[in-house]
Amino acid sequence: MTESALLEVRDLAVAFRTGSGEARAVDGISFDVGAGESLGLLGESGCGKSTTALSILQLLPRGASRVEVGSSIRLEGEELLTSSPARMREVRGGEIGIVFQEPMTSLNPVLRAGDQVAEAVRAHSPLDGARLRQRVESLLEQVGLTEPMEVARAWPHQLSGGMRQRVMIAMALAGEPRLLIADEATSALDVTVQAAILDLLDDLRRERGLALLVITHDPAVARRVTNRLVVMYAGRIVEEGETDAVLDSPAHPYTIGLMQSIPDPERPGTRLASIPGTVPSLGDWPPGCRFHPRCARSQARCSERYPPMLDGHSTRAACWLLDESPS
Amino acid sequence: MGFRLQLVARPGVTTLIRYVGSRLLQAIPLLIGVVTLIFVLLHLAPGDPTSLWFHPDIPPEVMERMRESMGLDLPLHQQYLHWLKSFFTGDFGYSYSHFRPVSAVIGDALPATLLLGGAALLVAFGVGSAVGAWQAVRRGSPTDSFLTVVTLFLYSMPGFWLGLMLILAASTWLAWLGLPVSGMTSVDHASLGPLGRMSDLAGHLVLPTVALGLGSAAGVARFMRGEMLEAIGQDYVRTARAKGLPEGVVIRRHALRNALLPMVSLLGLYLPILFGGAVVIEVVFSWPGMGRTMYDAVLARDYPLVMATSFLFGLLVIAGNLLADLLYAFVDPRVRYD
Repeated sequence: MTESALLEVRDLAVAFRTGSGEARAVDGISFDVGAGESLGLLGESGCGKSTTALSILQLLPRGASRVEVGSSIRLEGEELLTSSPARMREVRGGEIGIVFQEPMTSLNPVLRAGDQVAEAVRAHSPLDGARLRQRVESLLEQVGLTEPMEVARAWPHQLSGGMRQRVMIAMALAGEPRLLIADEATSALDVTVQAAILDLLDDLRRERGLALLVITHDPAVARRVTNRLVVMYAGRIVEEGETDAVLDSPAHPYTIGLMQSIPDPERPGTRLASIPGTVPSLGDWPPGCRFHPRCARSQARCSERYPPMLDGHSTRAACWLLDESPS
Repeated sequence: MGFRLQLVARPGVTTLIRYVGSRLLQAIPLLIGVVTLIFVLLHLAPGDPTSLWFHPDIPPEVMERMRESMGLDLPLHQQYLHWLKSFFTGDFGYSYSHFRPVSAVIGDALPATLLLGGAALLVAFGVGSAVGAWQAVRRGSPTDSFLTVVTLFLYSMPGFWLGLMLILAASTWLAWLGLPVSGMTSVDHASLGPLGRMSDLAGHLVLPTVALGLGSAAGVARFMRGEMLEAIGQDYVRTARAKGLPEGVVIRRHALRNALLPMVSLLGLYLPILFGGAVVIEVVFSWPGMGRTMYDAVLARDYPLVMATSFLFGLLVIAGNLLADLLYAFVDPRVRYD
């Protein structure tokens, strides 16, 4: 990598305090998000993808979790993990915006929607009075709310889920960030509303070069809005590549199993395959490749050493099956 | 923050009036219940008002005449209906022990109790909320643990004992503070100027307020700590941080505001505790309020005064609860009257 990407995550490891010591929810993952690019982070719940998103903005609950030494998160070359709290406040919302999953609980119930957007604007610029109001209305308009004045006056509980999520996006855009993290931003919404919000995110990326980091458990969401895709399993990256390549011709048995468990409209009536077993719980990772107990094609070395990222025919995957050298 | 838009559709005035009206109607059977209970309890207790004036030189027929004049010779149910009727026409009768109309006695005592109760309420919720919120923000720190012990101690402390200890402290080790330990005004109160009278009153108010409010403040603090911890863990607080707001704003505008909402309901809950405590505290500090009046009236078997004071305490509690509910609807945009 000659030119530095917008966001570079290197060897990120996050440990959570559990009843019996510490457990790594994220265990040494690395990825880049280029300017204007849309990167997807795909995985089941508990695989560490949201922890990754929150650790970028240092929003993990304090005391209960810890980003381990040796991790690095760089924004245009600037290390965020050692930034001052004041600098992190500028970064939050000003450089990197984030939209969360639950639009119901992510808005403050006792503040009007407009006030909450205005607050985000004020955190990054000194606008006031009529100009502040104009800015809030323009932001609400930009996220596709056709009656920005009405929405600004409304309390969160008076808005629908889709409208709330648009308000959340307006808030995330208020500081004119260059990267927007969507942490399962559409998972709690109806399918039609979900499609509309995904289109909005895609438009924002195309029109203003906003980079996206889309965290999702849904391959369909990843396909709709991302160029590149990283698949996570049990705190590690198992596969990465162009989104279409990862979803259409995956190399890692986990990704293959994941894609086979999705109903195919072209072949109705066929029995869906499912991955045997369950995701290991936090801190209970098996030795070697974390997927090997559930993998039909596991070999002896799978339980001994964690595989490095290897080139497949169109993606890169952490699987010994791709290893040409004799074991 | 310079961004205030006009009120979005709030419940109409008619809905509000209907709601208050129905709540007031519900209060009537409650008040009848209170009066009935007090009536029964009073007549279950041995003796009647005349027993205090008993003297060997008074001939029995004179005593009988006195009882007749007070209506005490009538059958109980007739006495009861008589009470009920006069109560709801606003006639509280004549005090046997003060030799004045009950309404005049209460007119003197009520402001003193409202002053003490109001001040104690302020201390309980002001100090309590602040301490609880502060603890939650510094959860797990040594100060948090220390304050948890202190609040538990104060919460478990009987108010009268706390009052006696305060009197002891203010009269000995803290005598240099010059805090009055008894009554509501000094002997020379009448000769003071308006400012002097105010500060005289305020000085007398300090100890009873602390004695009455501190235990409740501790209870409020324990409750507030929990509410605030819950609020701090909410998604919208994380959202506020994600916007890049300074931590102080995140805590005050987002966590604290939401944590204070349930405190409004707690307000209604603490009113009876405070008024109940006032009876004891007013006796300990010779505060000339309703509580002490009621206490003296019970000892004197002054039926009309006991009935009237207990009725008024009941009314205050019911009205306070209604006010708390209305206040809740006012501060929480999600609440609708129905």
